[in-house]
Amino acid sequence: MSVPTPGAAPGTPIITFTDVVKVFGGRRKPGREAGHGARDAADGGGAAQGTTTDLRLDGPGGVRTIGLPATTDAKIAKSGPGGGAGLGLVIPDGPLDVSTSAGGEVRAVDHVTLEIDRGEVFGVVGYSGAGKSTLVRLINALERADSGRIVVDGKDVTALSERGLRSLRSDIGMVFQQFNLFSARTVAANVGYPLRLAGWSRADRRKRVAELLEFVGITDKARRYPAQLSGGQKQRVGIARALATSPSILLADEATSALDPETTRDVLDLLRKVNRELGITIVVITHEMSVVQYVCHRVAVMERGKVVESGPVYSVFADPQQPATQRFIQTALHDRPGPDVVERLRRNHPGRLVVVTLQEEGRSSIDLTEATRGLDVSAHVVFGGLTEVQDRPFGSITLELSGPGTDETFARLARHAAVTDLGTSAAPRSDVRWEQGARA
Amino acid sequence: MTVLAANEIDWSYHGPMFLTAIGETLQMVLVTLVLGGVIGLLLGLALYGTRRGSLFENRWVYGVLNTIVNIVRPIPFIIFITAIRPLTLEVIGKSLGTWAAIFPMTIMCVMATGRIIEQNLVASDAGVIEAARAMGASRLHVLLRVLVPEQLAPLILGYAFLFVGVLDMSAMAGAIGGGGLGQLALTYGYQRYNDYITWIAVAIMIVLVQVVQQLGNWLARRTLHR
Repeated sequence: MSVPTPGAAPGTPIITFTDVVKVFGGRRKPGREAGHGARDAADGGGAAQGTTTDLRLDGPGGVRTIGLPATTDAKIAKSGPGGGAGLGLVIPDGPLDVSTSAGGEVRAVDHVTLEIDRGEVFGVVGYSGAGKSTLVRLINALERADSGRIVVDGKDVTALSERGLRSLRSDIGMVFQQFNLFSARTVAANVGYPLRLAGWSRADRRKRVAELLEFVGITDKARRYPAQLSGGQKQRVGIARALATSPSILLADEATSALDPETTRDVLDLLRKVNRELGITIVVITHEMSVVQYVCHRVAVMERGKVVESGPVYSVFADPQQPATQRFIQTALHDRPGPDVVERLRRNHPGRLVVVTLQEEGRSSIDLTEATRGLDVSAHVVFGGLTEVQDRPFGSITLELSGPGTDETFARLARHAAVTDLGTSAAPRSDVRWEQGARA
Repeated sequence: MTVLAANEIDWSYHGPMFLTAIGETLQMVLVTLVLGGVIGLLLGLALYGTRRGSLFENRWVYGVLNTIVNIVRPIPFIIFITAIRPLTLEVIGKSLGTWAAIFPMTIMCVMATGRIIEQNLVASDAGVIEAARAMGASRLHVLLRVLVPEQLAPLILGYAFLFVGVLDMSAMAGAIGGGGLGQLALTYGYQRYNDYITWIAVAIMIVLVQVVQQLGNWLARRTLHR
């Protein structure tokens, strides 16, 4: 169902997750991969929302268990294998939404099965700690799965040796939220670094770096150092560096989360260009649904280590099944009035409130002229927003209908769009979607 | 021979003495810094690399190295010199003189350098390590070709800091006939009640430290692209 991309055969999976589990904490082995301990913590540890987390203290006096309030954003770093009295607190940088089990283990990725097609832009959306950063690091084996199978471009990642991993990684580019550029190297040297690793000659490197800098539009900054660049320019360098060895996959881990809205748009445009012109498969990790809306073909929504919903972006936006998905979509669109908004609307608009939503298979506009023709009815637009998802019109408007023709208007609207009846001030009805959201 | 009263300087007599002392001090300090700096760099890399959560995490190797450093470092240097005298005799062939001073100084310098290197590397950006690993860099490559260049400026400042420590040790080397400004200040200044000698020795050391610190700052600025 992905949107066809030039130079790519849609529908053939390039990355496959089969029942993959990644657990942090508990009986954690000594870390083989250094460098992202803090992120592990943010992704893998801490308090689950709305519950308390048990903190085990292994000390000379035996094991004690105390409860931590859910708001505690602290990772409990258990002591290494063999026990001991080690207890470290690592403070991650955001609210956490993770599942903890009785033994203090955290399933950052919990039985995930997923296929990402060659040539598509695939989004993974979720709150901090939902496990999406861990999920993406399983692809290039910066994290190793505890169970399950991950196949990338025909290679079983879970079975690769250290040497095999290095060749795999040269075929997977990665860009980061904090850019992670080498501050002691110039822009050109940063972009050339993966080429050095791959053993390119100096002349070849210079030529390739020039090409890449031109592609991302920062040719004039080649001799500068990262500290002299703006955030957007840094991310362009990051993208050029990730593309240096012509990978077939690009992993973007919150690539725009440190950027302002305008720069975000520029960088997302660049990612679209990478996908369209180079045919590179992109996996976009984000907590912003607007990013998904703008660049992704398909999306998976993650919550507490699980993929709770996935599908083509338009379908997911048009008909979200899970409360978490609905909340994310509302953060991007704000088109549908929440219960508090409906409350306020009813004060000024006593008539019948109906939400009219554009459908994937329906018309691309809401025709009020047709809906009210020849009827004694007044239709006021009181809330809503229409935008584009996947280059197609999307969104909803909320109308206040009053007069004898209300029922007929409602019926006409319902022929071409999804209509939700919120009732009148006298006889209110609630939006089932928000009910679900509130329950969760 | 001239007989000098206290607090009197005869440059024709004291001048060459100062020159020799400066030479000995520089010899002790530079040999120690080069030897101790290089071996200490290796020690520091080993300490950092085997730390918990680091690239080559190995609790046994780290435990042993860490313990050795922790045992040696707190020993007052003047005691340390005398404590390892038999070992110095074995390695250098004598237990008095400049080279006999360089041996314990180098050992102490290795320990201090190791810690300074470790501390500076611990402060490296974890994201940079992850980026390099994601590009397919080996762990050794990350350590030597990414982290060391990234932390070069603080490492240079760390060495400038070490220079002061080594100069301090060289002054104590006077106790075992190591020569240098320290011994000059002790024997000709303190023991003969000639404060001028002491003050001049101190002034020279201050100038040396200033020059080295300035040099370190300048180099660090050149390598720090922030």
